[in-house]
Parts: sequence; structure tokens; C-alpha cells
Amino acid sequence: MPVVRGCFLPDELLYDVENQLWYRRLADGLIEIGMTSVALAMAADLVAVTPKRPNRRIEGGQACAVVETGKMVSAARIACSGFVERSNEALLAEPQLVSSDPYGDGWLIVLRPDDWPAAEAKLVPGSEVAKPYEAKMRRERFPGCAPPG
Amino acid sequence: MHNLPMAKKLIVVMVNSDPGHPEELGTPLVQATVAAAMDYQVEIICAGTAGKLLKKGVAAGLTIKPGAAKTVYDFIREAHEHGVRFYACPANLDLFDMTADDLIPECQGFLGAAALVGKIMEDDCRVLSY
Repeated sequence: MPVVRGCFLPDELLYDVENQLWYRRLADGLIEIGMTSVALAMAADLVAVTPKRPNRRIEGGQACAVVETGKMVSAARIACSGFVERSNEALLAEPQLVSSDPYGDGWLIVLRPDDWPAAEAKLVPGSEVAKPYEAKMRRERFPGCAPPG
Repeated sequence: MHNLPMAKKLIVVMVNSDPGHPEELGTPLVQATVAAAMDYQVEIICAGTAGKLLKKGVAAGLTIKPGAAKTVYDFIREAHEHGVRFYACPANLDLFDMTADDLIPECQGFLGAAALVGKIMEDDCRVLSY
């Protein structure tokens, strides 16, 4: 698993580095989407995470979730269009899940993509993500993720 | 059960949000920002006492929490960066002895009462008022 400046980025996922999202293809062909540990470390002071509600269409570039911190509001924008099949409603009551388990219980939505092969081609595999993430961190002067605990 | 179409526009009417009580200003600005981040079309009309917020220097001199680093103007700029459009009530110019040049650059222009009502009565619009 790549570790960039103390931030874990699992190999088996695909990444949209600029928008700080990970993508996981599920057995049924649907796509699970969540935020990377880097995004969460940059956000800090998490107040609320509101994923897009299910049974709605979402277009590429639109927000699949909105994150509110003590300092700012930010949109988690997805790389592909599709239909929101499931939404992690547990986050409404427990937004810290995205920080404590970003690649597990902290998922945001499950999407039925319109054209997964086209979307997949735009994403970076986990095995190649360290370099672009290091460049992003350098550009944004991000010191790194704090050690757990 | 009715399947109503989703509204695409949100209009936030700030009338009674008093710059003299800055703790009243965070909620409408943050809700508008969040709505814009959720890809809704969001407009804020500042009228009445809230109209003072659009005068240069007023919001920059206020913080919602005493001693906070983030000013009310920072909240306005953040909302604007997310796509929120700010409008002033034209009657506010006379009320607060302002000219159009006194307005902050984030203010898109003026929205009179009839234009506001016209927008609100559109089917795909919802309204929050403060």
C-alpha cells in the first residue's frame, strides 16, 4: 500500500487525485466512492458530511457529497455521471467515520455509472498514485497526515 | 405519495439578519454555500438591515464569533466562490446613503421587489428567509 507523507492510499483502489476521491468496483459492477485520507487530513475540524441522496442522477463534475469543516465548505466532485444507488446515511449522524475508516465504513455513495470504462481511464490506479499525490501535496504545501492515535 | 420534481434554485432572502448581531449571519451564508456546493443555483438577496452587509468594509469588520479569524466577508467570499450570487435591494442605496460604487465586488447587482417575487414564484425555486 502506498504511503505518501504518512497518508495511506490502498493499492486496490482507483483515484481522482485532484478531487481527492477513491473508487472501488464492487462485485455487482456498481462503484463505491469515498474520500481519501489525504482529503480528510487537509480538511480537519470536520463538522458534517452530507452524501448525495439515493435514486438521483449525478453528472460528472458535480458533488457526490458536501463536507463542512469549522473553516470551510467543500464539494466532493465525481469523475463520472451515473445514478446514485446507495448513500451512506450513517455519515449524517457520525461524520467522523470518513476519518476513522475512510476506505471502509466512511464511504460516501455507491454509483451506477453511465460509462465506467471511460471514467476508469481517467483515474489513477493505486499502484501509480504515489507520485501525483506527492506532487499535489507539494503544490498545496501539505505537511502530511498525522500518525493515528 | 407525490413525486414532486426536485427544485434547482434556492433563493435566500436576508432581511432581518442584523449586522449588529453577527451571530445571526453565519446560518444563511453557510446554508447558501452548502446549497451551491450541492450544485443548486443559489441567490442571496440582501434587503432591510441585512443590506448593510453589501457595503464595502462592513462585513470585513465583523466576525460571527468574537475573536474568530474568519470574517463575515470571508463567508461571503466563500459563498461567492461556490457560485452563490449576491444581489442588493435597490431601495437600500437610499436607506443607507450608498451608491452602487459602495457595494462589495461580490454583489452581482440589484434585484427589486417585483423581480424577486417573479423568481420566487417559479416552479423550480425554493426560498429561505432570514
